[in-house]
Amino acid sequence: MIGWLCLLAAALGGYGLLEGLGWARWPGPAWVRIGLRGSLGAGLGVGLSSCAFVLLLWAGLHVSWAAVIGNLTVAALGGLAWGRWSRRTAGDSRASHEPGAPQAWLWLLRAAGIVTLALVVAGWAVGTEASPHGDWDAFSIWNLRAKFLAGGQPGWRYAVSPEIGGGQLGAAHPDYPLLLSATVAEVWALNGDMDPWAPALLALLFALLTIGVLVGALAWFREETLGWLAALLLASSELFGSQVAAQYADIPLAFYMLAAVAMLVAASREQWAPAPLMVAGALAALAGWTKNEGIVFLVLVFGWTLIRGGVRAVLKLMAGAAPALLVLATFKLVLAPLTVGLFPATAAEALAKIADPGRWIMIARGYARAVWDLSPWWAHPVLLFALWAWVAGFADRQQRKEGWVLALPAAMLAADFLVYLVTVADLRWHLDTSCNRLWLQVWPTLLFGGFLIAGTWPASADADIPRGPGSGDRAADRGRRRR
Amino acid sequence: MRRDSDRERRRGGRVGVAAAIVVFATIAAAFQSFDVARQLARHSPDPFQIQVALLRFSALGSRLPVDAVVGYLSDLPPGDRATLAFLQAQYALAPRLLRPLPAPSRPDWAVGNFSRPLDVRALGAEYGYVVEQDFGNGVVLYRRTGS
Repeated sequence: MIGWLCLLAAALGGYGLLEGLGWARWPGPAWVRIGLRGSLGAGLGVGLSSCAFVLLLWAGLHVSWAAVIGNLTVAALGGLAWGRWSRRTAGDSRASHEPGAPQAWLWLLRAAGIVTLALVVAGWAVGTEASPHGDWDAFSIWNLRAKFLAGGQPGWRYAVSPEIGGGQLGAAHPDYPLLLSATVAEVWALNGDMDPWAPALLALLFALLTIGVLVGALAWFREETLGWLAALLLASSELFGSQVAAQYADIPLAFYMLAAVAMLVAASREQWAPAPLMVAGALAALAGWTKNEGIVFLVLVFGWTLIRGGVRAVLKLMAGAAPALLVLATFKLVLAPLTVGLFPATAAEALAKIADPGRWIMIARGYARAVWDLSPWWAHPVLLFALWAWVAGFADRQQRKEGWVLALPAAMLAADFLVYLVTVADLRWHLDTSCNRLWLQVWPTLLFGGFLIAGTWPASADADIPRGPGSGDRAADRGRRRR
Repeated sequence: MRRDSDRERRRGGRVGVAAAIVVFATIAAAFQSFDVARQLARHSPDPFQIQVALLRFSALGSRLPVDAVVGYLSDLPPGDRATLAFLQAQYALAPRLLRPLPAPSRPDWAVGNFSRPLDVRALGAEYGYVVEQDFGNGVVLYRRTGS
């Protein structure tokens, strides 16, 4: 129990950090603000405490002290920030929240969202009951390394030993970043047991946080209706639901990617103000601290910010990313074993693989299959999104510019495609074992980007609702101009 | 103006229909996804036999220091079954680290994870180990000779 309380303290610390930074005075309902900041803050706090935990363990502290101090440090920093700075003036968000949909529809969407969430939780519960230690990667990588870390001094170093997995390529990945394993280890170390429900509950927590950010961010940037529609498509997709009980790092990574992208949108709306950029940087760095693909994402975030916001914006982003990035860099350069793993030894070998059209076709088929398998055809998100776009249209030109955030998940998928092209592993095996999870990593961000530029519920004819310049709806705006 | 108002109302109606379709389709898909999870759980609980491995190795684990490096012996030829058997044992015995034998340095202790009855003493002797305790069910604790 004490492990969960400490983790809660770290989560509240993350919330406090966000309140202290004071980005974007919230124009909408308090529960959406608290939900969004709570989801973002919990992910931020838990992620930062895992960084501190690994550093303290590395410094030689007893595992329980490392966990307590790691969590309480984040809690204290958050409390300090909240108490000291939360009253300062913050940048104004250009978002203006107003419920476009009639209240009855809004409540229907909320109720539907709760039902699908309940079904995700029920699916997680039966899956965890039947297979409490998770799927293959959970017991061979994430939870196994958590056991080593929770074992404390000196055996925690086995988590980064090239010997784990019997030294077999692909069996245990000692070079993978440690956010998830360290978080599980903190709970185990403080609770004094290795109860399989701890990683299972953390898996569920990250799934719920992902949905919380998706609903909250779209409610903030556009309107609540779109948030719930996106949440319905995410929570009902087979890909998402089936992975919650697997206890893999892909949903936590999806959470950090979505959260960072949402904060980038906030930053661009606030003329690249420091607070949202720093939060985006911290979340992107935590994506890198979650999984190797997150490191690619972090690089892309820097590139995207440089193009959209310039050098000053990148420096602010770097300031937020610095703590987790330093831990990640130290881990990769000093602690983690060097693994050549998936990549060819020579450029000639890589070029030969890239020049093979059969590989392009096989990967394209793998991608198409992953998209097809998202949901049954009659509830396929592509079909349902197309239906929505057909009847509700798209946002106005100003709003559609924010669709540039879709470049980030698109670039991630392109990078993954390139890795498949050059992989030295058997391509069929590689696609079969990872392709759907790579799509899962970007899936919430794709939905976020899609609904960010989608049209909203048309304003009722007798309601004259002023909208901010950042929350436009092309069709509704056209209607108002005519009036 | 009235025409605009009618148009907006019609558009609102179409959007309502689309929202209703999204609601019903996604709830149905979520039920189907839950049903798949329930059937999988019923037909293949613990598909990687991790619970079984934890039970098999629990008594042996209590005999070893928690931070020990432990040798690993198996009768399975390299392949998917051998990999799974190793990972099951590794997960069950963690935070101890398993080192497949033969290895450049031989740990003081080794575990045997066998899929069929065989001469466990002779196999251990091949690698310089003697049987410390046979726990049955293919699980054997070895001690390095001379340690």
